[in-house]
Amino acid sequence: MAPNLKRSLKFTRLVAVTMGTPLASSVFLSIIIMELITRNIQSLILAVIIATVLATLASLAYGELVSIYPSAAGNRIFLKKPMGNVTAVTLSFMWTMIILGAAGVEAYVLGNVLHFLIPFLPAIIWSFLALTVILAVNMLGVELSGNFQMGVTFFVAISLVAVSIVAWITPHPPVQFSGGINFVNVFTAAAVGVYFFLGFGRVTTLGEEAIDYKKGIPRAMPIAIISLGSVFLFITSAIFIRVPLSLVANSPTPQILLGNYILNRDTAVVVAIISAVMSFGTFNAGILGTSRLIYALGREGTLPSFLGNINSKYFTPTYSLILIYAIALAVTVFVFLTRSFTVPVLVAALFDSFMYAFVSYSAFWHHRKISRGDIPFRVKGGTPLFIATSAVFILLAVLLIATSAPVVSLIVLIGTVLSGIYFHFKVK
Amino acid sequence: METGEEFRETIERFVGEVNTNERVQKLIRKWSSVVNIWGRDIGEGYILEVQNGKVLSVRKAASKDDAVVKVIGDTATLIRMFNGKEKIAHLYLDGVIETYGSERDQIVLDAIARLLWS
Repeated sequence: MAPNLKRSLKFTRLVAVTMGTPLASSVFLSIIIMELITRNIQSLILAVIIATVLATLASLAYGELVSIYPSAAGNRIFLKKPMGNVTAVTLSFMWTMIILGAAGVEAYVLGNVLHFLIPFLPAIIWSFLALTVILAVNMLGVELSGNFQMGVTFFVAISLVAVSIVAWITPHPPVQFSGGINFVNVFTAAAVGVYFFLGFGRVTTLGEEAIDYKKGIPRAMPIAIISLGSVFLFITSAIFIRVPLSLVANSPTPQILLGNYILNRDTAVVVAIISAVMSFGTFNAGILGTSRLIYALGREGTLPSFLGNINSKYFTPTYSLILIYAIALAVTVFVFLTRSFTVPVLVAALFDSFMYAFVSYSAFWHHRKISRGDIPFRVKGGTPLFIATSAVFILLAVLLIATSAPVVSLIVLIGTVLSGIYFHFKVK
Repeated sequence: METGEEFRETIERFVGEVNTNERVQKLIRKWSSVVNIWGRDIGEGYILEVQNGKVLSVRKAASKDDAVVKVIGDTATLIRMFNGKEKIAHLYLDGVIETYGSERDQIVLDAIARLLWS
């Protein structure tokens, strides 16, 4: 293969990996929350654009940090120098828990999608089966090839855009532009929209030898975020114009409703299949990487040492995977029992806003403290850009705290404080 | 002793231990890979060719790039790591070393160290 083509393939794969984790079916739940907050198309579109721009700025901060610390344990290293080791471990551990919570929500959506496709089992059983299969696959160390993952990611992205275009061009009721733009609502919805991009930073912790950490990842992340933002803009607006808000508000699968409203049940089946592929793609992208972090913390002695055990036949971190499975399953059961996906989605969006604020602050800190020559990917105007990004994400987090149920803030607060106390005594 | 010389001796001792330790051999009997251990401060490294758990050869690396799995760090750190004085997982979490390769290969490397020195 010609070197240029090979390099371009590697870069395309980096973009696909960055897009792979966030491109999950649970984003449809955040779309519901955003619709309920904004209630008109212009505010909704503005909120998606703001979320995309902010996530792009956060990706620049990640890019600068990953170029300084290639092939490292992500957030922990990025935050360590400016915020101290205990805080860095606490926040990166909490972030891992948030990702697992999102995996639980994803399994909830996937269960409902599979129930729609094959109704003879209840949705909760489908969720349980899906999570169990994913655990088994990961325990056996089965890895999909990078090119296959890349194909899945681009298939999903293109399919969502295609479905959205069909939704726009087929006959539909006139789009309502009623109501002006309420900027508090727009920014609150944008804060929820941050959930769209949850987990994009996973690409920074990949250990693949083909990855160019110093230039490739920093350049791939913003491109991936803008591409994701465009896809979400299409699908969010399509759901808004085609599916009545009263129906969306009570559905765990607005994407299937969209399919039904475009044409008929057959279209809904196609959309459901796309959604199931999204879920399996995001699980495949995220689980083993997350288990490795927990495994490494177990090996280090920061978490209980049994989490550092590996299966001698398949070289996979058995107990770490079981822990991940248990946490994701617990969240899934919680969502099924309470019939409320809002809390875990808002918890994830809130913590993600804080995390992007801290990472942007860290990029600001490194930008000022480290000499130019030691930063392979240095963002022009980084000092004001990163501090402004950090401030805006703090503002979004405050908006979410002010506008969501107190339980959302309490979960984030209690989780962070308890983790902080634990790591205060465990981190050497 | 010169750092480069100590580095070479450390890697050779490590390879000897991997090839003779029964527990390690049992664990990695199905593992084959090419590992480059690269000291970035001295610009030198060693390539270990592993076939079914046995390190078949150790040779000087021409660059830091030609391998399936790469472990890159300051030579003193790598010496401590391959002498069992530092945990690979800790060095990874602390960002002291760079490790490149599949998740699985990196976990195998760490498991070898664990069996040798735990």
